[in-house]
Amino acid sequence: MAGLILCRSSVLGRIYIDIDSPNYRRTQIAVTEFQSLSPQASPTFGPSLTEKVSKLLNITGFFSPIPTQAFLEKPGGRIDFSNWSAIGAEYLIAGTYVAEGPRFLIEMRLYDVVKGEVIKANRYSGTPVDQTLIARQIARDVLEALSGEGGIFFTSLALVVKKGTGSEIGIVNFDGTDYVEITRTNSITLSPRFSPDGRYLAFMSYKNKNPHLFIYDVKTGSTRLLSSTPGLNLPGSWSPDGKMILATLSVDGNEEIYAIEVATGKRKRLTYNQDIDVSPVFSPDGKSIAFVSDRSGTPQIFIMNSDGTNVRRLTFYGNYNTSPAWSPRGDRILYEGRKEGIFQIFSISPGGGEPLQITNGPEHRSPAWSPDGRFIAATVVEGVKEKITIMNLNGNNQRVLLPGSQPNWSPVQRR
Amino acid sequence: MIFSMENNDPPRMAIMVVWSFILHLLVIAGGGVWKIAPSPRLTFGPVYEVKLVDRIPSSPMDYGGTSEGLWQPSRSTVLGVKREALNFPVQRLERETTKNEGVKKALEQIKQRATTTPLPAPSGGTEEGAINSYLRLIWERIKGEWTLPPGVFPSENWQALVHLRILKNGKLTEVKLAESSGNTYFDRSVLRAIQKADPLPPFPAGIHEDSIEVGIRFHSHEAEK
Amino acid sequence: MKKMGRLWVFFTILAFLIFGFGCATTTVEKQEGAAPETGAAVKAPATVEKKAEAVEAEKKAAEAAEAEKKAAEAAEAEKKAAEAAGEKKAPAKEVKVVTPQIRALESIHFDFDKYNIRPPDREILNRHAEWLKNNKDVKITIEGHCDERGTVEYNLALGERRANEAKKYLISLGVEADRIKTVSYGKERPIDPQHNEEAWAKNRRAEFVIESQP
Repeated sequence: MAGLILCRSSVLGRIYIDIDSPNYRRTQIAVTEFQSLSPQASPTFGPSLTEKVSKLLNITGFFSPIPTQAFLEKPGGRIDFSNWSAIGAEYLIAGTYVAEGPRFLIEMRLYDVVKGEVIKANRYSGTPVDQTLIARQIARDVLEALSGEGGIFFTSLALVVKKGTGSEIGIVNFDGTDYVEITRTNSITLSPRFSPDGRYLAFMSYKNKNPHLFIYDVKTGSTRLLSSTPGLNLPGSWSPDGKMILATLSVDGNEEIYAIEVATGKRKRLTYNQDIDVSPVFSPDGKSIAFVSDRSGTPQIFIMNSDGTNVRRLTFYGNYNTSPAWSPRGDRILYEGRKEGIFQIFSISPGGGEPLQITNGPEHRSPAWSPDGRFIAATVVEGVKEKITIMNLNGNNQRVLLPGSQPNWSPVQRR
Repeated sequence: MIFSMENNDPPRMAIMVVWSFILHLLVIAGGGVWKIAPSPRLTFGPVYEVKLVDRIPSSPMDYGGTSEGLWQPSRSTVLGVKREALNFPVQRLERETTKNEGVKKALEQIKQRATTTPLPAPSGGTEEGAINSYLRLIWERIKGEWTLPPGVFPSENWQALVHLRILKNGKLTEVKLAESSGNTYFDRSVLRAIQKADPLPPFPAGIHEDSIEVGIRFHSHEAEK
Repeated sequence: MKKMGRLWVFFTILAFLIFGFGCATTTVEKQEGAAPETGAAVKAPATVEKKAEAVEAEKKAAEAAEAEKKAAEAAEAEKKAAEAAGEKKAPAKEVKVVTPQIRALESIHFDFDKYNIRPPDREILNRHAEWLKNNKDVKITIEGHCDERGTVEYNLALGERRANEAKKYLISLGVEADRIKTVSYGKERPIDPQHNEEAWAKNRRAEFVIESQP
């Protein structure tokens, strides 16, 4: 795996060296306590905010906040970067806050310890109640400065929660906080799917006795019926422009894939085949659709063009492969595959080939991608209970969040 | 003696076995001794580099000194390579550089051979040997400082090229991003690795130049697992 | 005074019904042979009872529909459990469940990830077809179910397949298509909540629910 190369263009020319992979490990970051600059400012605000920021950075799996006991200098004074590089910190977060009437004014600085300079300096303002929100903004700015994308802190998961003999749909922050149940159907309700702008949530519910497809408006809280054909009305993913939603309907005799125009309810049939076709998802460019079909004998993942042509089989390993989830980057498709009697999550290139196993141990199902394509949410079975878990895209750093199943990841919600 | 053995001569048979055993031990021990030379960790980077073999000036210094005769004019001076490892035409190698898979496979093959064949002793005292080992040191240092959180730049093949000059006292200067990876943050990570490795140890006595120009190519293709 | 009178009428009819039900049950048993029935409220297809049923139905309509359904489902569940346990004996005619316009016919079962009707289940369907042909005004809903393994969504489709296969079979035996509705519950309504082979085998089923007359 190591790669050293020696090549000379001439005895005195430039010599080339090849390094073929970094050490993959978390970035060591020192998050120092935000300091109060005014006596009126609540003294607990600083430590509390700091801890929230630290926790958020930690949950991404990208950072390893250095324990405060290891710090060699106290925050607030002049920064001596050698004190920080001595304890292995690559980055340093320092901040201050003042009270301004009922609000706090917070300043955050992100330092590159190696270079000894500020990478980012931002100001935030809010009331004590907004503390979590501010922490998320700070975490977002830090992650964005260091990796280009920081929106993960403003995403949510929709999930299915069992209630008695039925189930309802809830929404929770990506880190498992602030769970809110959004349906009250007193029936079986499942398969939540966020629209690309995060404004709507499609789902299927038996609240009218038969399984119908509904669209929930997250902003207003209202629900409208989109499809109630006889048989299944099961939502798949939305199109990237949000105008269509894929669905599994059995209106024409058996389970087929359709595209439904969200505004009008008009449907267009995409598969014409006697066998089960279900769980359709668009590719991020909207040109292809991955779905599940048992037309070759057992449930497998297939891909077709968005108009239904050129159907080809994608998965050939294992005899039960379902629940495709197409990465927002377009280069991988996750699915659940049966292995040794239970299900695990696998990843495969849309071009086909050998799948990679992402999870192992307890059963994992129902994979979903984060909008930045760096995290996976899934159902994990702990004992006999289904729970929602998130992990990095390699399957590392699994964190179980709360009971539930069928997670679906929202887009980044602008703040 | 051994070959004149008849089957029905037990005592001679025993002697034959003993000799065979001793000879085997010698060979194996000999291999072990040779192996003590530089770390088998060394493998070879992109085989496209081999094409530069032609430009190595044929001065006596390049070919002298090694008793095993491993430094052949038609072979590259890629460190530690036994000739079998380069036993394929240069043309094919050049074509393969355009495909990752080809490169990877070739790398694997070379790595395999390189780790199992004994490396030559450094051609005692030549500047080339001194530079080679200093370069290996650079490689180790910078690679050691290059870290990335797993999964932060998912599933893509990143490559950046940095040019720099190493002064005799080990300091790194003229550090420049010659080829961006296309990802600002990836670029930044490689520059930091170089910065953290600065300064390197001063040149060993065997190197006569005042400074060395180096180009470091950083790759990362993070496999899913 | 009038009120009392009405109350008496009600009770008389009720008694009549109960009494009638008892007789009807025997009749039905004879027709169906081994079909087990548990608990009360078995709808008697005998013509004599129809009028009384109509009255009963009207009264029922006035009550909370939800409570009915729940009680019926509980009765159903009881019934399934009894069936699954292989009980063929119909217990005493206790009238504890008041609703029971809804009664179910015996369920059939499936192999893992399959929706084809197995030979022993065909026998059951044959009987159902007979019964349905002899009771022309009865409508049923076939529910398709799966065991808990595998995807929610694929199992919804599989459950639908199972229900539809059963429907197709009944139609092929002469039952009118418009009398049969299907619905799939996927793996969402297991009848046995345990996590072992036995439970899974029980959960892979199609249930035949008789819909109440309007």
